[in-house]
Amino acid sequence: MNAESPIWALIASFGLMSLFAVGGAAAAVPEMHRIAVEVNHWMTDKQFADAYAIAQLSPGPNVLIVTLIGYAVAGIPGALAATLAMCLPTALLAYYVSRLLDRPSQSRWPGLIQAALVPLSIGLMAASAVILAQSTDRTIAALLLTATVALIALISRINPLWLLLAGGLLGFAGIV
Amino acid sequence: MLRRSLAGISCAAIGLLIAVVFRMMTPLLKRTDPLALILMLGVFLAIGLLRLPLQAVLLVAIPVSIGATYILRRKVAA
Repeated sequence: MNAESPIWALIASFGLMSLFAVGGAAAAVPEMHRIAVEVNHWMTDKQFADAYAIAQLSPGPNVLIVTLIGYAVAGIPGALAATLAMCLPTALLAYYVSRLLDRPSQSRWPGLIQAALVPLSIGLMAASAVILAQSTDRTIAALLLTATVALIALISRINPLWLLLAGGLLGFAGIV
Repeated sequence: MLRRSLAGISCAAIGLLIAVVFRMMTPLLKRTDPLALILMLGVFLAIGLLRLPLQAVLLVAIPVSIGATYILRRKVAA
């Protein structure tokens, strides 16, 4: 494996990204899109949107999108490398930080930092939605479907899987 | 066939993401905390529209947010 290998690029990109993914995989989507589509041209806009949809649909954590990007770039080794690079550093960090926080203390820093990060996470997730919508909602019907699902999910407590299934059926029927 | 279904699922998945974002945003909007709203909007514009690199944006946004939250809380406590 030489330095040109995309595996190293995967590990470096996702390892670094994981430490900045305030708000989880959904917040890191714009950065993944930038790295995978715009900078490295590992996949097309459409492929990226598909990977996001598959990661949402499949059981398990949403961070699966990283696995799919890795797979598209370098097959199974790429999938493994990308997933580990994305999960391992943060898992270790979370482990040590939570042990630190378990100590009884009167410190107000944990609460303060958390409060400070919340608006940033929400801004990042909103950016994800815009970037994904730009590549997916290219027709009026697609835009309407997205808007309808958003509205239904907001006002009801329906299981999101039903909405994804409905989207799949409408897509299968050729409506969107 | 899979292609077409996936296109529909993508649309729905983005709808779900939008719903989550709105749900999380509601408490911020209710509190009308201008600092939080400005930071949220700033990050959204920088990443979503200007497509700046995540690291650069957060290296600025995180210290600013923590610093501002700290100062605000001290003021409230005083």
